[in-house]
Amino acid sequence: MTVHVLTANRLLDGAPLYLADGERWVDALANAKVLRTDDEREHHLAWARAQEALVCDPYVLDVTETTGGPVPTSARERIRAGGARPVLERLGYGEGQ
Amino acid sequence: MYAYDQYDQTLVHERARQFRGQVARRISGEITENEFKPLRLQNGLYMQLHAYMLRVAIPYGLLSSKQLRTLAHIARVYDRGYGHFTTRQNLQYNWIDLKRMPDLLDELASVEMHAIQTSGNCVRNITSDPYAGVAVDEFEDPRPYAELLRQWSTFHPEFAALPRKFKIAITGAERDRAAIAVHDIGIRLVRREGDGAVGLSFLVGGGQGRTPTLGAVIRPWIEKEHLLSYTEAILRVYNRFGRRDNLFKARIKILVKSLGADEFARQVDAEWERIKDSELKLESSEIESMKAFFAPPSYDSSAGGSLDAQRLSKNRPYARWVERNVERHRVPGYAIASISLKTRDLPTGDLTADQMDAVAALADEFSFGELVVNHRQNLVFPNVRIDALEALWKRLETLGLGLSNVGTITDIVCCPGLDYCSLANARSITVASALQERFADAGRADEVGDVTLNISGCINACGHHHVGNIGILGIDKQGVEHYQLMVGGSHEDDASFGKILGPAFTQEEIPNAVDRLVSAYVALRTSPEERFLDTYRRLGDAPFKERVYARD
Repeated sequence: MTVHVLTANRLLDGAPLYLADGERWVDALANAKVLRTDDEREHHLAWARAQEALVCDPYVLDVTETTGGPVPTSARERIRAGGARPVLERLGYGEGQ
Repeated sequence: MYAYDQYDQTLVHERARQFRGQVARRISGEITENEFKPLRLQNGLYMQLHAYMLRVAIPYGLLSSKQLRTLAHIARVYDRGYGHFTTRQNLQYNWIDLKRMPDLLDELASVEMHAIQTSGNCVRNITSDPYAGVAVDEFEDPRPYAELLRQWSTFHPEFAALPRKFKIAITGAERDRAAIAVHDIGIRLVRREGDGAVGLSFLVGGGQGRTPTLGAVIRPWIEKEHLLSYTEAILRVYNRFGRRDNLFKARIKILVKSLGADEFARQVDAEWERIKDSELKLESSEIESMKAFFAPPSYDSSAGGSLDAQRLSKNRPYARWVERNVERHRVPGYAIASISLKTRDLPTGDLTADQMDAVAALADEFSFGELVVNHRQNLVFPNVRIDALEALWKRLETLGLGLSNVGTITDIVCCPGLDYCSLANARSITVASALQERFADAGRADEVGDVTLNISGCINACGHHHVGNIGILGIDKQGVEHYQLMVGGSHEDDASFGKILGPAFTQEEIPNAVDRLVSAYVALRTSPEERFLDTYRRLGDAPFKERVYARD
């Protein structure tokens, strides 16, 4: 069943962030709060849009729940959630700076 | 190359200072993200999947060695030690920190560079023939006109908020190496019938993306003095009547198609009549003083040698490099050398900071301190002595940049794709790497011969897949990356768009599909001299489709 999490990009460096419990932003999708209802999504999205000091362009993304945590349904969000390191290693740049 | 005067220098420094203030106000909350975003974009800073990406403008691809050294320094200090050359002759950095952007812009300004208008709904980088000034088939050097267009378009107040991005390319040679047919405006220096006077031909409404279209000639010949006024007239008609209600229908190609080329031309001409004698009309002294910046370097008249002789060198790997990577120059004793950035060590079109420094040193030693970024994500040394080619190649080899694959199946053009780009549907670099591995054998690549292979991670077509002889388009099929295989595109004077061959392939399947496709070409061609594209055009897609999709 498709549920959702809320994500945004960190203002200062563009890194993906996910909304966790307690209105905290975390960088690991595994720790994101799963949003199940329209009300929850709208409420948190409205809150996130007001967090411009920290983040840009919040949006809701589709995930399915697994034992390992929420997993995005799109390839794009899966790669985004994986973070910079796997990309740099895959492209031959090691761990980078 | 063009050298900034005090106004140019003030402009880029002031822009950097202005952006510093804008960043500070965004961080402090004085301006909102909605207010900041267009300002950020007009300074070339994109939000991507993992980080900010900065696109630095390299006007018509021309770089001095000093500028390349600064790009290397920026890669080291502000990014992760590398940069990516694009299909519009620019450079991209992928891991930019917002707070440090203003310092980065100051560094660019110190070497007469900037990131102005490399994003946003404005006129973007003016691109041109990478062999401008040195090509054997050139009528007239397009670079002075490219520079005039750059200056005219930079901070043009009327065109700061166009319906959509706007791309202009200009060429001055018999053979189009600037892909003018797939630009919003493509300009060609051409000889008039009859008296042979060189003027400008304007194509409008070309482009790729969702609706690939070849530009229509709306003005076959106009005097060079009207370069800016005529371009302005086109932009004015577009700015007024281009669609702003639908992002996917906002390019000028949609307007030209809906009006018809003749009616569009009529409207442009009507607007042009009103402005043709304004200050936009170029005085011959303006054109001449701009040409002076692009005067030829001090060629050595005693330089000799022939490329034919170099191709017969007993040093066979070197001879192969000459065959593949080196072209004739209009000045005897000189040659145009391409440096392939299509190694298997790094993604296509990438260069590390150390490599940039090394290439800058080589440009100083072998090419009068200048180099050009071309549309196929390779670098060009436009002015190399024929008798120095072997020495250059040996030095390139030590840097891992001596690959002899220009124009072959491993000379892949590839967008950043889903590893970086928030617009992408699929990874493109992974596919390029797999294909470079599959065709690593030089003998096989030689057997396949001249072919262009372009990969885009989404329909925005930054990899120019529509105009590849072989095009690959990444799509998302139920959450899984898939790839459409297209055949028959061309970016040259015989411009055409590729056609989808059949059902899409998975990432695992696509290298095999390409392998079968080129094997089909080898089996079906009349001789090794018949190129891939010509065999395809002769036979159509049926025999290729049959072989690519045959069950084992």
